[in-house]
Amino acid sequence: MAPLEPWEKVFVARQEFLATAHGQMACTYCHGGQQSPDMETAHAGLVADPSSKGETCATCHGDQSEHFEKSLHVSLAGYWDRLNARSTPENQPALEKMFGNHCASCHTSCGDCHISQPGSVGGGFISGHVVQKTPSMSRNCTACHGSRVGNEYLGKNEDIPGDVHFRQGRMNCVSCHGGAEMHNSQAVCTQCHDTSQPAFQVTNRYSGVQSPACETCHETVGKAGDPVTQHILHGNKLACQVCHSVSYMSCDGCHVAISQKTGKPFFKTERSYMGFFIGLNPQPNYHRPYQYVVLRHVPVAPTSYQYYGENLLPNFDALPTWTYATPHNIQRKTPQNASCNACHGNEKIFLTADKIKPDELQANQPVIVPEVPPAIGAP
Amino acid sequence: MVKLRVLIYFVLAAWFLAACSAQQTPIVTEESAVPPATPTLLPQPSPVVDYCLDCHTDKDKLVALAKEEDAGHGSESEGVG
Repeated sequence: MAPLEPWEKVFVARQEFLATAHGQMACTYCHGGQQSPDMETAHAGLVADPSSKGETCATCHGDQSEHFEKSLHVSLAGYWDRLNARSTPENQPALEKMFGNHCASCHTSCGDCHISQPGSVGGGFISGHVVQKTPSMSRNCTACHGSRVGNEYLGKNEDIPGDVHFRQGRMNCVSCHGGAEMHNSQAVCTQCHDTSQPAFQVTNRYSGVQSPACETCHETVGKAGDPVTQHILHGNKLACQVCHSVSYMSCDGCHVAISQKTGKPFFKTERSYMGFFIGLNPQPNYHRPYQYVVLRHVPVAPTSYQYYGENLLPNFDALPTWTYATPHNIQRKTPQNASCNACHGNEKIFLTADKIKPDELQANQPVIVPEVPPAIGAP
Repeated sequence: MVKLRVLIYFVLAAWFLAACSAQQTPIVTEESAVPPATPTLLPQPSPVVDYCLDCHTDKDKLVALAKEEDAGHGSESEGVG
């Protein structure tokens, strides 16, 4: 995706924009500033992204904005969930500084999906400030979720086909990840539970309801009448990706710092590599009861944030570095589901202790497969 | 006859006075029972002369005024983000 020219980022398509409901409002209503032919005066008090806290949009779009702040895209709770687990309260100020410099740009506002490209890819209007009801897959979703999910889904990893839902279904991100999920306005939990209880707080992408679950569309999988015997045999023991995902990207050793030359934040990742590993589900729950899931190595290291202080992750071993993953490269037929023994007894595809770096062994105990399921028919 | 006239004037005067002081009994409907909505900040219509739009729809002006941004986040970044 080519970056936009500076002028292009703020160019309003007059005719198209004025023909919309949002074009009927004064610019200053949302953005503040003043009506003046002088640029400095006009921009005094300007709010570039008035949707960053959702309040401006909530004036008219109350339903979409009501639970917006608890959406993981807005709260970034997933980051803090992991940081807090690996750190201690006294490190909070240093981590907050690090977070503000390196992680907070992933925060998503209404405008980051419906008007502009996200700031993390340089920002700028997608379509002359015309509000897009449906975000663009390439300019919004994969602009942030590109290096792993985007490349997997679109088949950009060498020799690995794209996801069947894209190749054959021509489905884009919002086909599965709809507005209710993005706006956190799904009322499923609150129908039965008091969601103010800690057990119902969604703290990361795998702690709440699966949205979507594969079974949302593939309703008959594992149920009576399912013609695929393996679905019946394995039941809820396996996450769908264990049989239907293929090789995906993992990364090691991300470190962040501020450039001495430019004063800008930057990161360096030691290496990235393709692979496919089945491991144990670190936290089985009601919505994800699986024994086996697919695991991806995340690039955290004990020294990832040492630019901001020594030993900021003293509890590094509290969480696995091989984490529950849902690669977006689903195939009907995969190497591991070609036959029973393509998986059973196939040590290459199971995350066993010998595949873990010695200094990460302790952290990954919850996900390491102690014994590979034996080959079918083996003595 | 005089009595009849007096009676007519009396009836007309009574009718006139009654008409002046009549008050309509409010009819409570479901609609009027709803408390008034909390005033919200309503969108303001675009002004007749909109300097914001005039500038932001003028490509040449924007090209002339737009400043090249500093190399943003990630300029020295290496590897998969």
